Amino acid sequence: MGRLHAARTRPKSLGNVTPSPLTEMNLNIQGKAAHTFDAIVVGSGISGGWAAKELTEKGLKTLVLERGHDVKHIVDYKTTNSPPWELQWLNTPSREMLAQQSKQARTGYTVRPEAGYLFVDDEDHPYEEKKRFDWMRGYHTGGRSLMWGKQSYRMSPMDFEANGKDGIATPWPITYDEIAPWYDYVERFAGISGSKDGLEQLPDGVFQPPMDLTPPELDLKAAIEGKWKGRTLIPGRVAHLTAPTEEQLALGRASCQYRNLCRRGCPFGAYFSSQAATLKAAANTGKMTLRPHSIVHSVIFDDKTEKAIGVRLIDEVTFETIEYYAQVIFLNASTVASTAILMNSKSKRFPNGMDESGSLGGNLMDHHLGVGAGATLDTHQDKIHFGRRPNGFYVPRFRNFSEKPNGNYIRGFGYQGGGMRQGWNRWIDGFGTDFKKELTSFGPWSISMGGFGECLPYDNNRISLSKDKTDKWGLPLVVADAEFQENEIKMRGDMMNDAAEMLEAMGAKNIQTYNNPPSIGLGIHEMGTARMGNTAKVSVLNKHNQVWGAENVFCTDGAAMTSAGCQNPSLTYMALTARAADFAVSEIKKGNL
Amino acid sequence: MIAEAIIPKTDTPGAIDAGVPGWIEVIVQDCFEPADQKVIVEGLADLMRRCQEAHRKDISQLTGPEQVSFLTKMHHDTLGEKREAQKAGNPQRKTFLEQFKDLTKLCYVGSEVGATEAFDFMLVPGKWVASMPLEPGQKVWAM
Repeated sequence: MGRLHAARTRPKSLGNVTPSPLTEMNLNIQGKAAHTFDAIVVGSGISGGWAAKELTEKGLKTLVLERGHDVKHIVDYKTTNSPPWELQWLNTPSREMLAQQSKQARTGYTVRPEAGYLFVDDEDHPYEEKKRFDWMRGYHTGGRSLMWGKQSYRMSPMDFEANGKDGIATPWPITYDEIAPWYDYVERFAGISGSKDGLEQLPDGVFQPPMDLTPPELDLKAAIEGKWKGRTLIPGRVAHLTAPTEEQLALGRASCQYRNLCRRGCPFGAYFSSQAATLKAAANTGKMTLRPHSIVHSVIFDDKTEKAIGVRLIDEVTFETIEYYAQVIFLNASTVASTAILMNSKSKRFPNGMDESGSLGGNLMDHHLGVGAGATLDTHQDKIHFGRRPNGFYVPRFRNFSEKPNGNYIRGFGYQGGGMRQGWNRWIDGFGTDFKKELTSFGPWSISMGGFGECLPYDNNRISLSKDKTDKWGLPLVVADAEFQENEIKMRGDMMNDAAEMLEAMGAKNIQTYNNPPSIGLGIHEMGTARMGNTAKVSVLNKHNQVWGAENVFCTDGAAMTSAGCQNPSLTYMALTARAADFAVSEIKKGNL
Repeated sequence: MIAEAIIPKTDTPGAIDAGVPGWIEVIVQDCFEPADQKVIVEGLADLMRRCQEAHRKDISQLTGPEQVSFLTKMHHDTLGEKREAQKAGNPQRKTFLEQFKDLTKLCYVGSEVGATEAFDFMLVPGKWVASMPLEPGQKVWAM
C-alpha cells in the first residue's frame, strides 16, 4: 500500500475492489497534487454540465467525473445521419437488445438500434424494485442531456409556495423571485424556443422564436380559449435554437433543422446538450478535466476539519479505487444516483450517510402520465405540414388554479400534445394497389394530448441501498419502494376527461380516451430524495443546495426538488445549479468553504 | 410473394423490388418473440392451405385482383376467428395477416427503394412549415 492510500482506511462496503500495486505506485509518484482540484463535479448530464461551465468560467480548476463511457460531440453520434435502411433491423429492437435492456425497454421507445446504446445495460446495472420503478438512464458523457425531451418550463410562484400553503412535506426554502434571474440566465445560454404568453402559472422567460402551431392546433387553441376562461394552448417551450445568439454560434451551435432525430445526438448542436453547450464552454476555459469511467462511491468527509475533502471513485474499467480532492464538490449524478452517493458517504459525523433529518431517500417523485385523449379531424384536408418539428403544443395548468377541481385532489397537471397530418403509419384497410395508393397518400389530421400530473412528496416513497446486494463494482444496489398515491390517482380522472372535453369543443371526431396505470419513473422526471429545506431537521440541503453539516458539498440535480410542480423539471435543475455555483464561488472567495 | 400482393409494383416499385421479403425474414428471425414467430410460420402454412382450398392454386398463380379478394377474405375470416377465441376467454396475439401487413409496410417504408421512390424522403428538412397547401401528386413523408 502506498502512503496515500495507507493513510485512509478502505471502507468495508467497497467489497472486493482491489487496487493494483502499479497504480498505487504511480499515484505516489504523481503525488496528491495531481489528484487535487479546486472543484469536483460528479456527473456530466444536464446539471453537471452547468456546474462544470459555471465553476470553470469563474476560474476554478474543475474535475468532472462521468461514471460511463465518453461520447464526443458529433463524432460519436454514430447513427445521426443514418437513413432507416442503414439502421439494424430497420430500427426495430432485437430480442437480444430487449433482453439486455429489459428495464430500459419499458418506455417502448428507448431501446432501438438508432440510440439504444445511450441507455444502460440492465444486466450490468441492476437495481431492486419493491414496487415497480422504471429507472431510465444513460451512463455516458452528457447523460440524459443527449436523450431528453427538451421541454423547458419554469416553475411558477404558485409551485414554490405550494408545500408551505398546503402544509405538505416541507416548504421550499426559496421563492420564485430568488430563482427567476437564474432562469433568465440559463435560458439565455441554453436557448429556449417559445412564446411569451403572460401566464402566472407558467412564467415567461428569455425566448427564441416559437415553433408555429399547425392548423388543428390553432383550432384547438381557439376552441379552448373560447369555452374556458383561464385555459390556453401555447407552442411547446423547447431547448432548441431557432435564432441562435452570437454566443451559441461561437460554440458551434446552429438552428434546428427539423429532422426530429434528436435522441441520436444532434450534429448541428441545435438542441441543448452538455456536449453542444455547457461542457464545450467549460472545455474552452482550459480549466476542465473530464474523467470518464469514474463511478463515484462516496464523498470523503474529514471529521477533524468537518469538511468534505474529496470523493472516492471506482474506475469502471480497471476496478481500481481512486481518490480525488477538492475544496468544493458538486453532486450532479442524477436524482437517485446523487442520493445513493450521499447514503454511501459515511463518517463519524454522518454515520448513516450525509443526512441527519431522515429525509434522505424519501419523497421520490415523478410526473404521472399515460393519460389523455386523441382524435381525428375532417377539416384542413387541403393542408399539410413540412419538416419534423421536435415539439408540439402545451396546455398549462388550469385545475386548482383558474378552475376548481372536479375531484378531491390538490395541485394539477399540464398537457403536451400535437396535431399532425397522418401518414403511412396509420392502419389502412385492404391489400394490393388500392392499399398502396392509400399508404402513399395523406390521411386525415389527428390530434392528441397527454397529461403530466404533479406528484406529491411522500415520505414513504423511498429509495434505499441494499444491505446485501452489490453490483459488479461493489456498490450496494439501489432499492426503490415508491408508488403514485391517492392524490395522483384521483387527479387522473380529470386529466382524461378534460382532454376529451377540449377535443370535443373543437369538433374533433373519433375521440379516444386512455388512462393507463402509471408507475414511478416512466415520466423520466425522477425528483426528490435529498430535498432542499429551511432546516437541517427536515431536509438534506439548504437554500443554496449545500448539504447541511457539509457545506462544501452541493447537490443541484433533481434530488434537490422539494416539490415537483407539473412542469418538465430540467430547466429548474439548470437554474438551481447556476445559482448554487455562483454562491459557492462567492463563499470560497469569502473564505467560508 | 405475399408481401408483393400487399404492396404490388405499380408506377412505383413493389415490395419485392424494395427487398421487403429479405428484411421480413431478418426481423422475424432476430426481433420477434417465439410466439409471434410461430404466428408467422403457421400463418404462412395456413395461407397456402386456405388458398389451395379456395382456388386449388398457389397464391403466386392468382391474378392481382384474385390475390386481393383472397387476402381480404382471409383477413376477415381470421379476424373473426380471433374474436371468437377472445370471447371464449383465450387471449390472442395479432393475426398472421395483421402482423404480416404491418411488417410489409414497415420494411417497404424503411427500405431505400420504397422510401425514396414511393414516398417523399428527407433526412434534413431544414425548416418547419406548420401549414402549406397539399399539392396534387405530393407523396407522404417517408419519415
